[in-house]
Amino acid sequence: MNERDALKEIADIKAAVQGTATRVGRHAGWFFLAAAVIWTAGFVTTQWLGNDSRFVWIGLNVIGIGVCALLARRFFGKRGEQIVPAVGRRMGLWFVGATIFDVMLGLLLGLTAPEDITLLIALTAGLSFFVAGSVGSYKAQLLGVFLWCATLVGRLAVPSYLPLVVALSGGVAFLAVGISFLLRREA
Amino acid sequence: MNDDTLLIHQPTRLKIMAALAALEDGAKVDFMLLADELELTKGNLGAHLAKLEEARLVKVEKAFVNRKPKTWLSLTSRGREVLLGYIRELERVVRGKG
Repeated sequence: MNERDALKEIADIKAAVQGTATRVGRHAGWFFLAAAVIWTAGFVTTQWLGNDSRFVWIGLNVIGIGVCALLARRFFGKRGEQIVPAVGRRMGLWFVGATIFDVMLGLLLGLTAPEDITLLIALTAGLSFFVAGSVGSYKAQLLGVFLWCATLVGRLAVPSYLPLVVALSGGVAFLAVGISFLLRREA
Repeated sequence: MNDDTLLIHQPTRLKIMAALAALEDGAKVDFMLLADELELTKGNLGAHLAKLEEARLVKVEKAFVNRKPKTWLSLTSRGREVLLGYIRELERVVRGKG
């Protein structure tokens, strides 16, 4: 085998690896689009309803878990195109656990102020994506850091509009990440 | 070149191995997805997979989902090692040490 053939084979290997990675990763975009809708609806409602928003959040969390379970079944279950490894299932469980943690903490501490609810959910979501990124794509970690920064800036700069700031910044970030996954093309 | 290296030296089998190498450990892909991704007919992919499975480089699992047959594919740890060894060989050739 000469150098030219070897280079061509290396290029073919890279293209095949990239092709599959792109194909199976594309479905992740739907999870981010679902998150964008629930996130934005939740925080806009928090800004609008104030103290009563905690009940809306419990409902939205149930809807979110249900939608994600359906998407996982559609794309990554035995009927789908890919069976995810154990680490993927564990990350899904982490997000369910984080949601239960937020609901319990909110109820036990009696959090009702929109600002408190926003801080709790946004900071936990940031932590969840940071943890997800530690075993998956670094993009998830960047998203986690972005959520922390947006929450901090909103809290310090415009505390009375914190839910709205978090709704817009997080919603746009989820939407952008989701679309970037769905529009991924093979190299 | 040993038998495993000769087996994956064939372009289509090399692409199959590389495509499966993109999956994380423990993940599996549907046969139809791979056929579509690599633009291979079912018969062609099946024939190459049979050889790779026989050499224990690829794992083929069959199941019925809603009474329809479904085939899942993944790279074995041995398959991953063979592919990495082959890539190292290619890199040696490129560096002029082949």
